[in-house]
Amino acid sequence: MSSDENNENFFDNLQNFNVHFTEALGSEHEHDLSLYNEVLENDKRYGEMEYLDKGGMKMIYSSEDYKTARKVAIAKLKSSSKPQNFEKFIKEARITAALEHPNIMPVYDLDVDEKGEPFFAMKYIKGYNLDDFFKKEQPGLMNLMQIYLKICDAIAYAHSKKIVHLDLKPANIQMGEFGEVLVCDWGLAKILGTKDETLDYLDPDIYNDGTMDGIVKGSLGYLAPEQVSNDHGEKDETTDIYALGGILYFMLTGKAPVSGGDTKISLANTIAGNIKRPSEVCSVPEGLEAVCFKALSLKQSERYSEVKELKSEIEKWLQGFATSAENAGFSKALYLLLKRHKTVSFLIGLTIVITSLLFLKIYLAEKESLSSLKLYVQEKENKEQMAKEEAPRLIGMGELAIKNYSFDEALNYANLAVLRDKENLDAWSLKGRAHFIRQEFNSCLEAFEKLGKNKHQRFRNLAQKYKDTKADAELMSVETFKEFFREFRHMQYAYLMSGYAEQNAPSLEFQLGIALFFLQEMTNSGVEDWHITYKKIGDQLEMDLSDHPNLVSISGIRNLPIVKLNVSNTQLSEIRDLEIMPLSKLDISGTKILDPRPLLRISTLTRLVIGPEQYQDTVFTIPSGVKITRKRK
Amino acid sequence: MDTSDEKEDFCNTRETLLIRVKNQHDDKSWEDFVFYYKKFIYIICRRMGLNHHDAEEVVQKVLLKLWDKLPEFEYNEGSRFRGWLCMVTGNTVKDFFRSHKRAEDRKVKAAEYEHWNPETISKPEVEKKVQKEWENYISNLALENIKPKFSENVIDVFLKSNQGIPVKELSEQIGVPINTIYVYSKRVTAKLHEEIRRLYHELN
Repeated sequence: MSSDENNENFFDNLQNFNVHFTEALGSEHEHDLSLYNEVLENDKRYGEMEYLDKGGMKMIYSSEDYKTARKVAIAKLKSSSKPQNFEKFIKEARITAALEHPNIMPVYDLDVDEKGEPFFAMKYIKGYNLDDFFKKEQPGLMNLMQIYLKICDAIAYAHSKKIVHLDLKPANIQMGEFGEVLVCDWGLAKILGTKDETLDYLDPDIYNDGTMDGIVKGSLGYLAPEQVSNDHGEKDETTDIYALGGILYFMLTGKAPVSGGDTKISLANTIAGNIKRPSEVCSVPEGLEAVCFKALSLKQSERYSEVKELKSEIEKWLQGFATSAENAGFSKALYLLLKRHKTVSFLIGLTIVITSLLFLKIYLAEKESLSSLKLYVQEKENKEQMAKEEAPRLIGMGELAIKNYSFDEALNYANLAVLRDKENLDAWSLKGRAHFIRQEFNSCLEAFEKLGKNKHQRFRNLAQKYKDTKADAELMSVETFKEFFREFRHMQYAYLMSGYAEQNAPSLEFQLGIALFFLQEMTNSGVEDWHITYKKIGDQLEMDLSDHPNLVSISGIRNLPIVKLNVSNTQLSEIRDLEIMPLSKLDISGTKILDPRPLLRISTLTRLVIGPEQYQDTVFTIPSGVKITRKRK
Repeated sequence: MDTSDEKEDFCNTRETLLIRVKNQHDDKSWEDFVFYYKKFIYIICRRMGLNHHDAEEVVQKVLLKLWDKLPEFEYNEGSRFRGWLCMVTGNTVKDFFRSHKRAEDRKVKAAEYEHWNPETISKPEVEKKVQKEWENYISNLALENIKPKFSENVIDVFLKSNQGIPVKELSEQIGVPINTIYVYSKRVTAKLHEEIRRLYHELN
């Protein structure tokens, strides 16, 4: 040791470390202010952002909260987000923050960053979402049902606060390493109109604009029919119950209840309730399948009315299961008893134990089979009942399909409905009418036969008269068709039947023939001086209907592939038919259309022509690629 | 000397260095004693106003005295021992001053010695003073011991923030983020305190 220089060096570099000594020995801890200073002086609250995940609108990062010295998850809007989204985003953060429940993602902080963009901090959770959890861990059904109950708890709580989630799906359930189950992503959540004292600051008037009606929001596969279209009802608590049914379905089968190649098919399947029974996918307990399907009912009134009800069904099932598990435990206890006796008084003990074990086994088996029989009978009854209950639902779907001009689908529903419940007259009526529209007059008559005399007499007479002009699978010629309708004169069926005929028209001429016939027939006056001109370009049409002062409706031609249309100087006021045409140029000058703005949403439209003095006070938001031309006087 | 060995040694004997050196008076214990106390005596000498060379000389004299007197010292607690050690050192310094009456500067520095002079200052006061010096010495020794475990940069940041430079200022001065400064300081402080505790229990 070269102590000479060592000592001198050491002395020269002596630090005043007495504070450290006292701190180290812990005698004066109360004077330690290093934490205080750290919290006080650190004005940058969060550290580096590390990418974790992304959603439709948000990016999720992990970061360190320097103040609380813990890891947090930070949600930010995607960088491409417009400032308009800030409000929605903050609304989401506040709704989530308002929901304080152990199974709802807690929000710790909401702020605006140095770039002026809002963000919020949430619990950082190590684990994965239910979707990945299911795939990676392959958990047992009991485990899944425990998780399911927690999800139910969270949603029941949210509903008690009049908040509906509207985007429940496995990917929005976060699972932690230690049994945490957190419902997250409340981006589509809605506050139902009723006032709630504890949520005073969450004023529905302010927040409800976030989810615009009329636009499909939510995730395909778990979306309720009323989310696809307003025709199916208002979004409310039962919308979440549908999605909870979907999550149950996922837990049973590993798949979303509704699937389909693309969005359109998925949406159609949602509305039609095309859901495979879980038992067709894999083996599942019938009790749970029944619960699942009730929650997934198309009609909101047929679902569970509240989450509590759904939850108690699952609990019932769990309890039934647990009882049989307990029985197994008991026989194991007996086995252990037998083992114990072996060492004491072998023979006597063994005899007694075996005898009693046998008796007990018989007793237990009996008890078990009895209880499972009871369950079976109950489920069987449920199923039959459900099949019957399903018929009216299918009929409803069929009627809807007719209204939507989906005639194949309508017939499908009708056939399913009569299959479920042969005594249901509405089902037969639907089937008969579907065939009638499809000009399948023989099948139509067979179906109406079930209704007894006097029902749909007009339909039957016509079907009888025209059934022999052609085979069921063929269409009437344009001429026969005209004749048919001059006799029938039924406005609604004229639309429907021409719709079917046009959809299945063998040629554009055929389609045109029917369309123009209806256009003219349905113009009330009938004294119009018709001078319609049109031009065929490939399989598209340009049509001029201008200067028909009695023309009020163009429904007759709504299904034609018209790309250029002139309806100027007509009585036309209804734009619904125009909206479904593949129009690129449209002249509406001199019409009675009050508000032409929805027409601008026609995706193919490039030019809209309006009259010299039309829509002077209307403020147009003109999409790019569209030109509005005002005619000169 | 490897401190981790030292630690094990300590754990095995379960006796503090002072008891070992007094009771056994063996070479190993003495060596350890010299290792830890030589520097401390040196510091006391410097505090009493001696320059480096004189201090080195006095330290040798004090150690010789201790070798003789230590077995007789009735040990009860560390601070007593260090009070006594300080008295022995003080006397040696006084003798040193007397035998070297030649230079003026020593007279000047002798004034510093007065702060330690057991004849003019009460015994509890000296003990308090020496205890404080001892605690500071252990803490600095601890720093020496843990230094190899950290990069120079980290130790540098720690020392600077320890000198009371405001964190924000320091951050700008050395170009290290505030948060990093806290992290560095925290890590060094934790290790330092651990080492201080170890030394304290071993040497007391």
